[in-house]
Amino acid sequence: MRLPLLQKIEIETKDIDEICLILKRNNVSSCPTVLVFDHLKDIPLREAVKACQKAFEVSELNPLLPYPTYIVTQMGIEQRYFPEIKDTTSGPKHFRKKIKKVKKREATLLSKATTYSERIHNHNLVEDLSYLSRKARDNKALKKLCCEKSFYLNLLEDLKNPSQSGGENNE
Amino acid sequence: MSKKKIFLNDQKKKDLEGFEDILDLIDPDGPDIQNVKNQQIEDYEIYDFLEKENLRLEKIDQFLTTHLPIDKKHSQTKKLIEKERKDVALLREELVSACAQEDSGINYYLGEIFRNTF
Repeated sequence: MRLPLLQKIEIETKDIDEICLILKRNNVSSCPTVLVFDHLKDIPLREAVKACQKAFEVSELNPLLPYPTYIVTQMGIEQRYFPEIKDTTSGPKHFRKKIKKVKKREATLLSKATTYSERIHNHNLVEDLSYLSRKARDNKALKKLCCEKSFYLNLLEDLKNPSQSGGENNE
Repeated sequence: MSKKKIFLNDQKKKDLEGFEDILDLIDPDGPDIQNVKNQQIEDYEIYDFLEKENLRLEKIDQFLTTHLPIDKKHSQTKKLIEKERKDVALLREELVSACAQEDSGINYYLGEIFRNTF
């Protein structure tokens, strides 16, 4: 068991099988990760990121849960799969600590954290997250309708009592 | 009477650089100056981090295990949207009929505009 602290992985290829192997070797699902693309050999960044996305899908990993996987891009590319950061040091402070030997009392907490992360990993995260984004869209639509309804209600009230509304406006 | 103790951390130690001679002049019966052991503070950094991490993961797990399935089973959003759509449609009709009356404010002001313009 190792501490869930931010780890850095260099991606130098767009071969999906190779990336899958790298992800498995570094146990990406059990700690937050930063994917760095500094040493790509004649491969466009976008293609490398796409390959990483495919590798995540093949390996049944999620870039957000239980631990986030960030990609380092200076300019930003058109994708929504991975959260982006500008450099390796700008990851969340929560996950940036000095690596130390785990003590006995910490080992208990660490094993608990590992159990929770495995439990989260066992959920159908793709389905859950797509449900949540659908729900967010519906909630936005509902909010828009509620605002519209409230506007019409105020308008009707003003029409029914023009003297009161005029007085309020004058004040 | 026991001696008062003053604890120095790294920052305070840096601030006192160059004043070592003056420190030597401190009254032997005065307060004791001791360095804070940073190790003692840092020891709990990982423990604290793991406690927070456990709480974070527990909340995510609870959300995915308890709250989300209930919401999936008994979601009210669609029904509420439907209800609000019907209400909005009714209110629009009511507004149009209120504005279309001969003595309505909008008719009065439109009439005034036409009278003044032509």
